[in-house]
Amino acid sequence: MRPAGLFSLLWVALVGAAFSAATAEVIDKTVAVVGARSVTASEVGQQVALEALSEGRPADYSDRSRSDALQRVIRQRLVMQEMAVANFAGAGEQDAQIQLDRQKQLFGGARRFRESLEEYRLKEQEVVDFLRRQLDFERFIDFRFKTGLVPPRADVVAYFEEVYLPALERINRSETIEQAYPVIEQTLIEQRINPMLENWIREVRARTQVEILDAALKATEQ
Amino acid sequence: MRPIILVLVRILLLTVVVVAGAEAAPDAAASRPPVVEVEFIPRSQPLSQDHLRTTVTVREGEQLDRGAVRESIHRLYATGRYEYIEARREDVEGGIKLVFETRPSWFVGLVTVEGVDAPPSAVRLANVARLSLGDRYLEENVAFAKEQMRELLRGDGLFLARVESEVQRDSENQQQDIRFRINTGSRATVGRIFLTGRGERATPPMTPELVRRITKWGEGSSYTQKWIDRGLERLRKHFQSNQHWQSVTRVSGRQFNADANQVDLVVDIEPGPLVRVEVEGADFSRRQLRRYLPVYEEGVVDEDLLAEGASNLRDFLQTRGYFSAQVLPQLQRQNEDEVVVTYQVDPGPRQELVLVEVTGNRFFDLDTIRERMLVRDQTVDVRRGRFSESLVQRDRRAIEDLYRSNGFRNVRVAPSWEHDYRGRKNEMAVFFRIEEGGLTLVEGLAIEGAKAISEGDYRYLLASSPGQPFSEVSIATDRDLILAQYFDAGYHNAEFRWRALPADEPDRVKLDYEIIEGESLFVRRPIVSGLNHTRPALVQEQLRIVPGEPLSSNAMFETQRRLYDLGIFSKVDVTLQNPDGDEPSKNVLVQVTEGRRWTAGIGGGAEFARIGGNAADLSRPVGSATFSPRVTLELTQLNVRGIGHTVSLRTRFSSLQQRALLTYEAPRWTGSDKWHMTISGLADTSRNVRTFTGTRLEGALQLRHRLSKPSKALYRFTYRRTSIDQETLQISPPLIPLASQPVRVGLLSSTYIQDRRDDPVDSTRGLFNSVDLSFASGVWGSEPDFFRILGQNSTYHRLGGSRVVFARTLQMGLMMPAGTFGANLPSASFPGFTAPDPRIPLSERFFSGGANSHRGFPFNQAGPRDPTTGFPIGGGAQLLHSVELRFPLRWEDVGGVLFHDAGNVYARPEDISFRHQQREVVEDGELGGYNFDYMVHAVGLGVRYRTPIGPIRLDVAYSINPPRFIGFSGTRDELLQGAGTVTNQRISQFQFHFSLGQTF
Repeated sequence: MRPAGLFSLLWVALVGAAFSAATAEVIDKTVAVVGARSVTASEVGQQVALEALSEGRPADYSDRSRSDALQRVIRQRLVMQEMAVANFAGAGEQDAQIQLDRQKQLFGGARRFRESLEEYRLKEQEVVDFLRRQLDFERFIDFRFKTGLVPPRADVVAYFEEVYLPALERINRSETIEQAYPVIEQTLIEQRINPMLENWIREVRARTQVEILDAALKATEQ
Repeated sequence: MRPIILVLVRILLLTVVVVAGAEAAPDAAASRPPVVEVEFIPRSQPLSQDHLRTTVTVREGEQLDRGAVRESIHRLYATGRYEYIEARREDVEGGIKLVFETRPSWFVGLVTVEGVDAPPSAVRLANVARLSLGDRYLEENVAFAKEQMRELLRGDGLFLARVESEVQRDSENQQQDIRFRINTGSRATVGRIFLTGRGERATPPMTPELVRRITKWGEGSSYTQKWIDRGLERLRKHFQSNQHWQSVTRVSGRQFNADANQVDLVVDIEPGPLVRVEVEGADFSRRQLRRYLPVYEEGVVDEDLLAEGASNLRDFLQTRGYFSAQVLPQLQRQNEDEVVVTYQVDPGPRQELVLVEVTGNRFFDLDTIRERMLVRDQTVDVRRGRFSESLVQRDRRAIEDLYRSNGFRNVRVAPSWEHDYRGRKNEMAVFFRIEEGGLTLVEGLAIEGAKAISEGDYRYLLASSPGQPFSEVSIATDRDLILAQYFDAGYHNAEFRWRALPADEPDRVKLDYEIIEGESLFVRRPIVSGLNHTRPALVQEQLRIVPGEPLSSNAMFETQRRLYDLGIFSKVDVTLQNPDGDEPSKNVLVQVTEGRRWTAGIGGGAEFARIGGNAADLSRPVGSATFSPRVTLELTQLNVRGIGHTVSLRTRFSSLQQRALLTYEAPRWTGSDKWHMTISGLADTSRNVRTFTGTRLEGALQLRHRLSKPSKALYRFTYRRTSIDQETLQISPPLIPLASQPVRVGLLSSTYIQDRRDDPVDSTRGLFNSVDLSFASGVWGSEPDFFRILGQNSTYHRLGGSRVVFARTLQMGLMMPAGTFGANLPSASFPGFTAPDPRIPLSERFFSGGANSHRGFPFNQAGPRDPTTGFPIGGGAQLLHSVELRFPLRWEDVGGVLFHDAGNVYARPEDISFRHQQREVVEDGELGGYNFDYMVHAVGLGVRYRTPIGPIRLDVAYSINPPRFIGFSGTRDELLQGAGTVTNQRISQFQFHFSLGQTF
């Protein structure tokens, strides 16, 4: 066979391969496993888009960004798994809708919000689900950790004197301790919840099979 | 070449952009072409096509919905059958082809461990691997298992051990058998010992040399966990013996020296303070204190344990009649190194609980209430009664629970007690006053949510039906019953809820039961593994798990039970493959471990009874107390030919008996649970009757038919040849040649047994009946023809609610000869004395007497005797009636028995007599002999010591009317020569029996 003929054959083969590769599109796949449930690539992408939308920044689909988002999806799954075990009743459609309306107002109205969704390639229902999940988590965390957690007055007073008051003085404002009490109490509760929550998530993760199947997303695996 | 590279880069870029963009891109509805085909790669999928169709939510002909694709991936993964799923779209003519490319998941199969010499055992290693049959197979779990095994091996001194694994895949069942190969290396030895103190004592209280001596951790001794633990225990006991009950000893560190293969140990030792325990006001033995004071067991002195010890001592005193005993604990710390625990005891007066009165009960009778109570007034077995405040409160709760569970929701029980009852000092009475309150009844019962199983299938079984008392106990019973039905029908997630609503009438409720059925599970197929020698058909016969049928937990338990019942498997696991997977049908894994096929045993024992005596000296026909040691050898092969049959050879050698029994057992004969076949061959030479030594060669075929749980029938054909050693036959010389002739007996027998005893080894209630019919006939090759019937009826009764048992038994046997075999043998009958029918060979006659029959006789000494020698010659009938009163004695495992035995062996059935006096035979005005056909009575008492294999028994019997007989004083040669003298003898009135198990 002459070189020209060989080259033609190769060309035909490559074009064929290029055509088939271009038309065989991977729509979705399992990228991780949490317990008995899978996490798909599209869910990770959606998480990236939803976070970007809520923070008003462009979506970053790099491996690093998707790997970070996957870790957050895994945490969500772990919490959801515990919610199911505890038979915890989640937020209703109505609660999520209220949150959605607030989001629309933040975006400057329904039209602007719709445009943003298109920009981030999201559907409204996906945002509703995202908001509902957030509500569920907040309520569950409150139920799981906040119940019965009341900082003693001495701690509130100490925080008021050592942190709050100096901060107010720096901006030339003044408040009595009774006025500041609810805010400080909430702050102290949050401070105590955070390490407890982290420990709890770590413990749940340790007893749950968590496996990341996509090598590209293993970068920040905890 | 350059253009080719460019094209490849473009293709790669294009693909990346498409994938990355696709992951979050919303569908452009207008441009979405329809899905024309859904394909799965590879073609062979772990799920059926039907299952795939219902699991995947993307439909052909509809537009591609990425949400549906994602949901399909989730649902496919949730089945547990896949470890990876990728969805691709391919543009084809007319639309899109959706391709799901999958990788199946694997499940844990058989886990084996090889190459290890215990300790640790292969079983322990397999257990720490925590690889459960049927669970998902994950590489990381295998790695974890290896690490766990290494840790266990190191604990037993195998520091150089290497653990490797290999898997064998069973693609058809998605299962991987995992084989761990262990190269243990040599076991390390104990090296140096370093000591550290703990807490405030930094200095160890002893030297390493002393520790080594106490623990026996000699340098160079083999290092195993058990040896280390035993050493620490010795150390602890050393401190305890010096009253340091709170000592703490542990190995806090170990250093392995690979060159020397030695382990240096770091041992923490804290002896703790000296603890002196003193009791004031009462005497307790050291053993009692150790038993009742937890400080000795727990090694801790704290307020809770002191209080527990005081409570235990008080309870003990109260069971001894000190019902108002008070015990106060006191803890005194003398100094850092010494603690004194003092129990101040005020036992109070010793009392008797003479009355336990229950009043106010109308719904339940007293027996029903009393059987739930522990407080007891004095009886034979509880001499002072049983009382303590905690027991009274416990009984109050028990009575209230009884009423509440039967609809009396407002019941109240008020206990009280009175010391010096009716003015009698040290007598007390306890009163339980019951206020029953109103009875709440169920007015109506509604059941909702029952779709898969008709409520009519179980409604009639429910305890909470209309008109019945309302109680939560009944509802719990109903819940268990309903859920059991659902679990059995494959609804393993079925839930039951209930609520009670007030009805129109007072004291009436309406009940609502709600059933949430959930999804049902079905059996895909059973997968059997672990068979090496056993034929698969044998296991298949036992399976109660049917493909396509609902997955019943009962069927799984039943399968496991049946496989264990084969007796050939040391372990049987029946479990689900992929238990967490969301799939409608499950594979059921049946994994068996075959037990050892060959077992050999050697044993020893001894008999001590009146079974001895010089065979040449005929002076003592009743024998003399003799000790006869014996050796037994057994060899058994289980699972013969892999069909679950058993062959065994049992031999016994002693000075009285030489015996070999070969048995072939076929359980589940013809595949039925109810039939069991046994074929046996026996060669036996024994002197179990003092009159002769017989040799028996016997073959038998027996079929056992289980008719019901308590009843069974045996069908048996026995053919034997019995010969009697002439030299041992101690009867009138003229009869010896003929009586010692070998005889062949063919017996066709049938036995019916009904056993309703609560415990066959030590029965306290129930009954036992048996009837055995045997025919010996020339038709099936027997020389003698005769018919034999043997019957037994035994009953056992508890007296009141006590531990006193009244037991009785009646045993009767009759032999009726026919035909002419032996008819011409000379008979020893003469006026006043009837000899057994000569047509029944000597070896086939009834012999009785001894520990397990009539205790007024030595072993086999009842019944007619040879008129010349006085030796027993057996009879053609036997009758025995025994009654026993079995009662507990002071010690927990010791009991007593009073008994009365009445009966005898009679020459012929028509000679059975209830006469209690033995008749003399007078010839020519002189005593010519005795008639033995009368009823011998014996009374006695015995002691029983309870053991796991049955009570050890010692009985002393006093025979009221033991038989007299004419015996012979002299040797056998003198008898044959007509020398020697005639003596008048009598069986001793006192007989001692030592044996195992109750008499009947």
